[in-house]
Amino acid sequence: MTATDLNIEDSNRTSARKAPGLGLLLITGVTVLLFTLPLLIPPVFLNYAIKMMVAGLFALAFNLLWSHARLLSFGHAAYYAIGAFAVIHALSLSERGVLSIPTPLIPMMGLIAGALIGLVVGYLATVRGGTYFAMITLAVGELLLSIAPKWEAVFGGESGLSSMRMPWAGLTFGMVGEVYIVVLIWCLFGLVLLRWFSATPLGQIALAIGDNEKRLRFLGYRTHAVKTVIFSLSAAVSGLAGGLIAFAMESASFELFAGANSAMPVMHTFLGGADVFLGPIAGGMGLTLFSELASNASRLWLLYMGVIFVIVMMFAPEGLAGFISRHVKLSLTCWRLLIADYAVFLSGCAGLVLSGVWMAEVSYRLMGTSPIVGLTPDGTITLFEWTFSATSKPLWFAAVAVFVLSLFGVLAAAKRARTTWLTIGQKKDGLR
Amino acid sequence: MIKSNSCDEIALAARNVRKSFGSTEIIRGVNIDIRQGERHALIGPNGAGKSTMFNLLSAAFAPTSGEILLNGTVINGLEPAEVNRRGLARSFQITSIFPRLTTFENLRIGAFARYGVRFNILSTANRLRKANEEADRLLRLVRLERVASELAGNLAYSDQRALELGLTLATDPRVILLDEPTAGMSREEAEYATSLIRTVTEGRTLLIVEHDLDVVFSLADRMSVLVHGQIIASDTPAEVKRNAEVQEAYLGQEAAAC
Repeated sequence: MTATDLNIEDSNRTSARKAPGLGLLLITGVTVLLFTLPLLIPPVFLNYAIKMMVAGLFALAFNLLWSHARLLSFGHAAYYAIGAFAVIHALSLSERGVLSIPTPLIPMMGLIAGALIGLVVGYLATVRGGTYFAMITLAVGELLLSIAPKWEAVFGGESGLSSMRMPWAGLTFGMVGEVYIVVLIWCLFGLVLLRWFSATPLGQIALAIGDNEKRLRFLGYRTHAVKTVIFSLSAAVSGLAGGLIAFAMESASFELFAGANSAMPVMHTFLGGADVFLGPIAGGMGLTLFSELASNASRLWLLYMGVIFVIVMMFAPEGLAGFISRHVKLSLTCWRLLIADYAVFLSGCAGLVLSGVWMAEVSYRLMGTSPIVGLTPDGTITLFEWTFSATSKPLWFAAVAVFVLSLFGVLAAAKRARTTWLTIGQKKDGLR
Repeated sequence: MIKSNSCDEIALAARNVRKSFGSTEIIRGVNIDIRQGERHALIGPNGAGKSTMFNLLSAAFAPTSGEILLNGTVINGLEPAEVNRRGLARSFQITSIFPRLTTFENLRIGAFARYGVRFNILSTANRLRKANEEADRLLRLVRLERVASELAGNLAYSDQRALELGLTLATDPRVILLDEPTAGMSREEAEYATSLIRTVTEGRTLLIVEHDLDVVFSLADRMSVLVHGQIIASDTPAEVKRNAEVQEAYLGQEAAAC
């Protein structure tokens, strides 16, 4: 028997077969690094790390539905938010001494709440597939968003709810380092849970639903029940993610239900790569870090995020992780032939980013929409500690020139690399 | 038309079945008896309603009136999953497999259903010995061992057809319905497929809808001829060949075309 562990990305399968030791070493290394992170970086970055891990877990939970059953949910904010409120309520019950669960286990309430609401909504939503499924999830999300601010007892009205983490077993949970470790352990738990699911019979059946639901019915499966269970699992882990954010922030408000939170895992997943297991994590962590850093550096950060998303969807619809893993796989055998093209491609990309960002930032200031970032009276502006005239013709000429040249460089390098691959592919076919 | 005396000899039957789409009546009062253990072919010219009849017999469509009986019980209106659990499995004319799973995993999906491990999330799929052994057996049965770990979506067309057959057998059905299993195949491929079908349906009841008359005459114990939504003959291949009405309606047409 050769068919082994189910793996969506088959490159993982071959590489795992080649060097199982290497993979294990890598996993151990990353885990050790993650656990020692509080000793290595300042607390403010630990807060970033918490947000990044939670975003990664949330995207992974969302993608359970898409990558397996090809169900696209536009309302996952609902389960995220309900998980968050479940944890806030559990925290305040434990604060008042009504409930006595160890503080580090409280995020589990998010998991349970997510599973339960997921069972109900999943039963309703998975009656249909495709667009109708997406519309039902969207509608349920909007419904909860409209109810939440009005139902003060449960969701705390406009101002939301807050609570405190109680000390447990000598740990105060007052330091971000302790919170980080709790969040990390839960995220790893969620990751292992979802990975495990893929290898179970139900995980395989979920993939089969995405491929050919009708056939599955004729094999004796009640696919509605199967989809309900998968939906519930996805909602459970989303609830865990929301619960972890509430646990870290010690607060939750109805804004967690907002559509932006439903869009987040979708963007993270497709940017990272929906059909590579770690793609959503990469997308979630990467975009979260980007938005934290870029929102401090520029007011145009949302524009940049949008441009990145559009470019990735146009030119690498398999997502960044899929794009990179495909390139690594293709190029391992013939990297000598391709290294020059890659160098041109990457420096072209750098040129595009530099000139594009320069033009966007200067244009934004020339528009003068905001007095804070507008021009100084003498027409000069300061960008990254560099002061220059915003209307300087040589600078604009240089920027446009760099942009156009970089664009040509990128396109030419991509074309050459493609030709090289095709030739190599044909040679291989010939040998076969 | 051969009437049967006792009901339990009949594996699958249609009783006065009619089916209309809008105002067009496609099936106009069909009676068929498929006996336990026989290989029965349903033939007919293009547009006779073969595919509709096939979908009615496999309970994919509900008849406008009349009944479909599986081992004497009415199955029309039941969910496809329920019909499968009662021992009837069908294939699809357009290859209907799971392209993102390997050949082996495709067959194992069928075995999961058979051993009732649908909702198992406590052990990995590779650990379920019975289902894996069953998938291996099916793999050998449809002779696909050499592509066991290939993704089904990457298989050659004839291998995909063999996998389609394997999936149909995976739930160990007593009654098998095959919809044009050799459609789109070359002569050699069709001969191979025919011998494969003969082997794997040994001891089971088979209904096959087929365009290729060579396949039909080499495989079928009995056959029914459907013309304009009605059965005009139901007999052994030799008798059907001699039937003047059939010759006029169908075989003559084919002969003239050749």
